[in-house]
Amino acid sequence: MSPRAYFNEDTIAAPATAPHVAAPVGIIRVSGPQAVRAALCICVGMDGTEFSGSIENRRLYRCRFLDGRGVAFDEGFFVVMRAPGSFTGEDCVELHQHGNPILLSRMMESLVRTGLVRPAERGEFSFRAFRNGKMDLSQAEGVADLISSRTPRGAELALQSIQGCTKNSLENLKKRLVSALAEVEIEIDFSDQGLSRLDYSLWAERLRAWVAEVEKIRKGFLQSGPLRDGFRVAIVGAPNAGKSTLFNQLLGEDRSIVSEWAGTTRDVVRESFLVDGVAFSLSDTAGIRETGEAVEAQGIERSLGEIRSAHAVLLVIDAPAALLRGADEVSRTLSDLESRNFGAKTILVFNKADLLSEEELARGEAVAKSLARPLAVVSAKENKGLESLREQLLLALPPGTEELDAPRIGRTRHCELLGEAAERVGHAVRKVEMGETLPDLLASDLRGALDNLGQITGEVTTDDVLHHIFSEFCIGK
Amino acid sequence: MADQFDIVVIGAGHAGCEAALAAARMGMRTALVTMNNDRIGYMSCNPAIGGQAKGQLAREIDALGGEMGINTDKSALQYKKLNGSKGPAVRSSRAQCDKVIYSLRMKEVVETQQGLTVLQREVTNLRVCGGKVTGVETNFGEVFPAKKVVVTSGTFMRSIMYCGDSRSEGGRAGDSSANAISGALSSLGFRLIRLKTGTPARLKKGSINFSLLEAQWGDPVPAPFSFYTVPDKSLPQLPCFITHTNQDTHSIIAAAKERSPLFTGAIAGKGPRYCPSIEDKVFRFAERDRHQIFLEPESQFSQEIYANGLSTSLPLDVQERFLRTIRGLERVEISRPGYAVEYDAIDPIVLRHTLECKDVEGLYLAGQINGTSGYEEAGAQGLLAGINAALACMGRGAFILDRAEAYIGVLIDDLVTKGVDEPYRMFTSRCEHRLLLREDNADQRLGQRGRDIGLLSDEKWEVFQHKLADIASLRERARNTWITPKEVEENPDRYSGILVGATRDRLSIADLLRRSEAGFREMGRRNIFPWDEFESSALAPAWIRGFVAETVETEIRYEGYIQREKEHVERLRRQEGRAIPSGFDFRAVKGLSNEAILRLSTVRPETLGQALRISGVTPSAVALVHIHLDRFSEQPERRA
Repeated sequence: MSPRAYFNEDTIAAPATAPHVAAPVGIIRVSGPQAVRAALCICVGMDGTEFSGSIENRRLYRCRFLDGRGVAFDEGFFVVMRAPGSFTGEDCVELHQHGNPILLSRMMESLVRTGLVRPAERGEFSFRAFRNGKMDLSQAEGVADLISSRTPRGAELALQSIQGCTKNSLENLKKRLVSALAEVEIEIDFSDQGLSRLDYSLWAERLRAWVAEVEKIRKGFLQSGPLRDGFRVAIVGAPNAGKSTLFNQLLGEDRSIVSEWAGTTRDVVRESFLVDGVAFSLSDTAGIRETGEAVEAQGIERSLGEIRSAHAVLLVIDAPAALLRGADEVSRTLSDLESRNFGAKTILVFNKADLLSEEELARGEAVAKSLARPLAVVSAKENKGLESLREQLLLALPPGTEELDAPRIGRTRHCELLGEAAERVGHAVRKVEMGETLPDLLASDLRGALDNLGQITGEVTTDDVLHHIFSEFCIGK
Repeated sequence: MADQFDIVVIGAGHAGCEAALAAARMGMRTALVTMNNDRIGYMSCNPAIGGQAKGQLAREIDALGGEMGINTDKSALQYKKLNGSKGPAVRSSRAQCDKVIYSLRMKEVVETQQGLTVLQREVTNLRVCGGKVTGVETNFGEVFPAKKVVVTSGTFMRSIMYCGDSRSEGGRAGDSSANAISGALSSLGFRLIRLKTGTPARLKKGSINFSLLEAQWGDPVPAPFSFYTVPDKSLPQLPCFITHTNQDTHSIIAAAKERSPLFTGAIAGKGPRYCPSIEDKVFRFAERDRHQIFLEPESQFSQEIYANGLSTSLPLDVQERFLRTIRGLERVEISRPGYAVEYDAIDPIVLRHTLECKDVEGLYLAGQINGTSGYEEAGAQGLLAGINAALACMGRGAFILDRAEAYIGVLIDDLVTKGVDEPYRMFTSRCEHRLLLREDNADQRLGQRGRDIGLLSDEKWEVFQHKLADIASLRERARNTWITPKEVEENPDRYSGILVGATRDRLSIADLLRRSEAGFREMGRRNIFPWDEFESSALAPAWIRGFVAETVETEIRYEGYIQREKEHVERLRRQEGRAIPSGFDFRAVKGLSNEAILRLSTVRPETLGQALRISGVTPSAVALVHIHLDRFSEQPERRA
């Protein structure tokens, strides 16, 4: 979206809670110079009288909400937060009503009919906060995360970013890099002044520590990924192994917490479910149509990406058919899958257990044991054995959660940029280790790394970054 | 009524000469006005051109068609390449020059330049009408009408020299100061700032015991400063000498602290931190037990020696005493005392990138008046100011170099964006893309630009074209000349020090360049690369081949780094490209803090990239300006 759309003095409104889901409470947020006036047009006291006199800042007022014809359609509260002490830095009003999607849309309609308010564009609230100096870029990105985080831990991470943690730790990293850079620059620009020479091995030592710290931060981020978005589980297997059925059964009654992934352009269906409070994000490559020829190849091709990023892979096997063809084929399929070096845990899922005899079942278990992989024997169709599968999933959680106590970056883009910075600094360190100490080349690496850090805090902002960030916001948040 | 000029340049120092020559060579009727015709292109401080970062500037001036490089080659007593071991990007050339020849030859060049009139006068007033410069007035009561005026007053505006208690008016020992021009600028609304610089004592050559000192000779194969002109090898090559101060020197200086005008408060102007006086060094770096002194020959026609590193304003008797504690100077005699000079300058924040004043059309400032120090910094600004004044006269577009194009671009952008509160000197670390802005490729970066504005003559252009062809040919040869494993195995001596161990694959010369420090010539001597064959086919003259080899070697060896920097430049250019209209009202940008508005309104940046470089202006603030501009620029469309 062009940033121009964000630039105006209109008063804007949007639901601040999920607009399409029924919930006990629904909130509409209004921001801009006309916010209070607009709110007072549609809010009346419980006795139907208009609010007169001055409205107190940050106080909840019990009220009824009127539609365009002056008829009360709902009741609740409103609260005024005046500039600059509000999220956007402008006058803000929050209207708290019942969280029924129909009621929320009637509220929006009513607000717009006052002629004082228009619906907000995507990201517009956050943009105004940024514009009014309420947050810097990394903080702004934190808001986007807070909004889109799917787990409590994700929200916590996002909050840290908003509170400036990202900025502070980056400032520290940057300071140290700047000082290391200065040391080589001195070698270059003042080499004729007979100053003492730089001890490159000590210099590299400090930078090695720097890289290690950045890697720790990145690791923390990568490990916290599942906590933010759910552990990613991919279902793979031959056609007709029962993947889709299993997919639906696993989601079961938890389907009410489905994420917003659906409707994206991906050819993969992804849904979320909880096991013991841990969020899993399940991708079903079976969502790809399995009719016609060459389907299998295509399916594998498309699911490869999913498999690579998964924390666990469910290899669904048509147990009766597999036993018929022998253990070798299972082994081949497995090694083919794992040869791609995904690092994800593979769980063998013997499906269609309802069709197996006791003896066959025992044979199947022996096969799994010989392959040294966890096994779940299920019947997706009859919804049996899913408990053991869920347990296996919990056991497959990646270790190393102790690192999670100190993650200081809350965003993939930060992680990538830090990775690039670490790579460039690491490059300089390796050069020194190899005895190549040309200060101008070492400086070039460090300058590149500094530039990466600058892109995180917004010091080296480009249109791309700005546009990208603001288009990622959901409205009304 | 005197003659009428297109352009009048005030001051004939290193900035003024470049400005006047550029303007005249571009076809403008130009006057170069100086208070003393015997001080044209004069080396008031040390007798050298180049050095770290300054070598790059000098080469860029030459690449664009300026005079400094040629004049250096005509007067060089010694060439030395510095930073040879610090990497390809920061190698810088320095030449010791015969200051008499340097000045006399520059005098000859400006006097014989067609379209250029040299006048010994003092400019006493600037004529400005309706915010537009119209001419100058002189101390003889003349008025010279002019379309453009370039002020390159150096250290001469209201200048005062200090040596202990002795205080006298003048911009250089033996020369008077220019006071009227200060007043003229002041009454035009310019705020004058006070800066300080200094120079060391000159010593009598016969009183120095050189046998005690370490001699430093120049490079056996000198690399000339000019890309386009055959170097003159007729001058004798002379050495410099190195010595050091010691504890005795420092004690004498410390004891005389209250006699230094720097510490008594007599001098208020701010001096350069990077070029401190010896008393400054002794107090600020008390832990250092010695400082390096470099003794440089001033001229073959002179018995004076320049004592680099001993700039001072201490009284003469103290200068003599501390000098005589130094090894080799035990019986030294001072021919000219060192002194400090304090002068008026103008914070260059009032200038555009063309060096034209934002508020006075047709008035350009260049050199030390803009708070810089150094001949090369001055020459670079003079050249750009002269070019832009000429282009403006012709109604042609501005000539601006960006930060990724030239050190000159960095210099000017720093000046007009960040302003100056102490004398500004160029450093390589000021420049973001050092690997792209090397000394060896200055002509490749700027030759075409020089040609486009009409400063590169046909002869120069031809030399340049031939050099480009040679570079392309050598690059091809490096990539397509192959060495087989068998050849390496059979000739171990030939490859010793170039290749470690056997090789399994065939290798190109380019591969060898990346793996070893040996260059084309070395490989030619070892019969690995047919250098002679290349030389016989080369188009450019022989003295350029060193540049050709250096350029190709560097570009092959550091390809990865160079590529990265190029990508970075692309990204920055996208951002830089967005122009901010002149007269843009930053107060109209919603959401800008008062501080941001103040800073932006002071600097009045010309692009978003420049705005981002202003200290105290946050990226968020620039983003707001950007957004505002987006809306602003598309308004006509909406109406349509």
